[in-house]
Amino acid sequence: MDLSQAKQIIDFIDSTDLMEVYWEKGQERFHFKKSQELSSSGTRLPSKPWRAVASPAVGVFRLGKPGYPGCDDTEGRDLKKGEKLGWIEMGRKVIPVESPAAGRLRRVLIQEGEAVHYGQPLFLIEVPTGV
Amino acid sequence: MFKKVLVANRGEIAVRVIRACRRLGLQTVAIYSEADRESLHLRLADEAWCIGPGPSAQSYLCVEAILSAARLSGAQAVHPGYGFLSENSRFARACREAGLVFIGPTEEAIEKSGNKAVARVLAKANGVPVVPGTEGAFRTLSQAALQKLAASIGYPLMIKAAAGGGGRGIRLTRDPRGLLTDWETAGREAQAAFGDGSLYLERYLERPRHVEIQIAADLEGRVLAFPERDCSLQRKHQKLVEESPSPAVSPRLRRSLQEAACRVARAVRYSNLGTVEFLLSPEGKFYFMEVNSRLQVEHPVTEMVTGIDLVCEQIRIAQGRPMRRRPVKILGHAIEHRINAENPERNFSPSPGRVSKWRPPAGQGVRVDTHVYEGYCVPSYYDSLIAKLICCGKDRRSALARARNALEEFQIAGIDTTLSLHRRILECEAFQRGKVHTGFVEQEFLNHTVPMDPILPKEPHP
Repeated sequence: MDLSQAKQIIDFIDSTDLMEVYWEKGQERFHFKKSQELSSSGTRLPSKPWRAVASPAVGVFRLGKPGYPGCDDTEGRDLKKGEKLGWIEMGRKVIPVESPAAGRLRRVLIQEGEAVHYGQPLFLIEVPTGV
Repeated sequence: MFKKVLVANRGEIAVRVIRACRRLGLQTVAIYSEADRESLHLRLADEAWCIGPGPSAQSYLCVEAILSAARLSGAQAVHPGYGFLSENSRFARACREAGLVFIGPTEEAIEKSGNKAVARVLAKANGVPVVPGTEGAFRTLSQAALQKLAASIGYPLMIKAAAGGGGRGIRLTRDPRGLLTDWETAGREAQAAFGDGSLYLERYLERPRHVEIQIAADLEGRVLAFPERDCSLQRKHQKLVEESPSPAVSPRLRRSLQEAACRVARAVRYSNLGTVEFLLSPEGKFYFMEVNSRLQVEHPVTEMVTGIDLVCEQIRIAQGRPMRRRPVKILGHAIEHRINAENPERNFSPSPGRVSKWRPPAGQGVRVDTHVYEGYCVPSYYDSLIAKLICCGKDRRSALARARNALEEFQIAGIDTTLSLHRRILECEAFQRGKVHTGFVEQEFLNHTVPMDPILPKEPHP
């Protein structure tokens, strides 16, 4: 593992809420532990800013809802800020899932009809640096 | 009969209820807010659902989110704990309509007991003594009518919110001059805190004790009364120390209190666990105060002194099982200290943060109900109760001795706590002799002459 790889791993871990990571592959071993101060300050930014779109409620994820066409969940497509990505059915309430910023849809982590927690990452979007 | 219970609460009571469910072989579902991700209750439950952000209005008070989690997890019953939605009849109704068993009283019983004015009329009609005061509550009242009413009851007076609880919307008035201002302030406070500005007047008793009777009623209408708890040590109407039995209650008075509590319970057609609160005058006269239609914070005192697991009883009642027939016996004496994350030196300001050291006491007759562990971070969103220390012994002296040792042993660092105040209370001679009243803590330890400071709205909590 070279320095840039190590940096990439650190940046990735920093973008999550993981506190400690062990990694082993052949002869290579890697142990990363976040210090309290670092994790709470949150000043370090990953080089590639992928942002998670979190579920706004606890409920069932839907790509469409009556009267609306289903949302396009093709990975790689461009998104506008506030664009609908789906809905959460919380009892009788239906709450929209919206893109928090303009960017590119990178990963879809959810399927139609799945139960989701509040705050659960549903999508990862790539946001241009500086946004 | 339900097999899976969703616990619609957080903190130590969620832990307590989950333990009772496990004892009964029931599966448990925890719910939590984002601020409670580290909390112990979600680790003890069979599954846990994050239902919203930190503020309780969007999480622990959000009926839709809780019912959504219940549906997704397949829970068949909901235990509301105390505080939050535990005394909310709309929540109880919403649970029933969603096909869930609400582990608590019926909606009708919650409504009747929750409205203090209605409960008072019912108590009086059933021969239970009440403090002299107005019949029913008033939303608006002319100044002349108010003065006339106050004079007929007699000063000093308490102005109370009909929908009240937790010490909000309450004012003490000692003479006619301050009456109107206090009435208006209390009305505003009640409107802000409960969305209902209705008020009523009541004579203020000097130096009363707070005694309460735990009741349990099954679905067939059988009512069981437990020995009294004495909760006279309070600060701003928030209980600090509770004990059972009361040093001021004789066996004869206990029977009268229990009979009165059962009459009130039957009058509101009560089912499940509840508590009937009374004021006890220094002369030994008691007056009905209110019914709390939920499990109470201080329930372990009764558990320790009778050997009965109240939460298990509560769940069994909700399952429709008939109530125990064995008589309730007093096995000794028990005392509870509520440990809060607050700084007593700084007017009890909340002290959230990381608990860097946590060494709770243990041993025979020592119980600690808590959700805290070393490294836990006390969130700032909720009430500041972090642990309940309950000690019991064969008599009051031995229970107090155990409590003294346990409090000495208890070590907490990283946050401020009320441990020091509890140690001081136990050293106090008047307390040791059992000579206290509801204004005692403020008078002896906080140098306040009038125990009725204005109270700012905070998180709803019993």
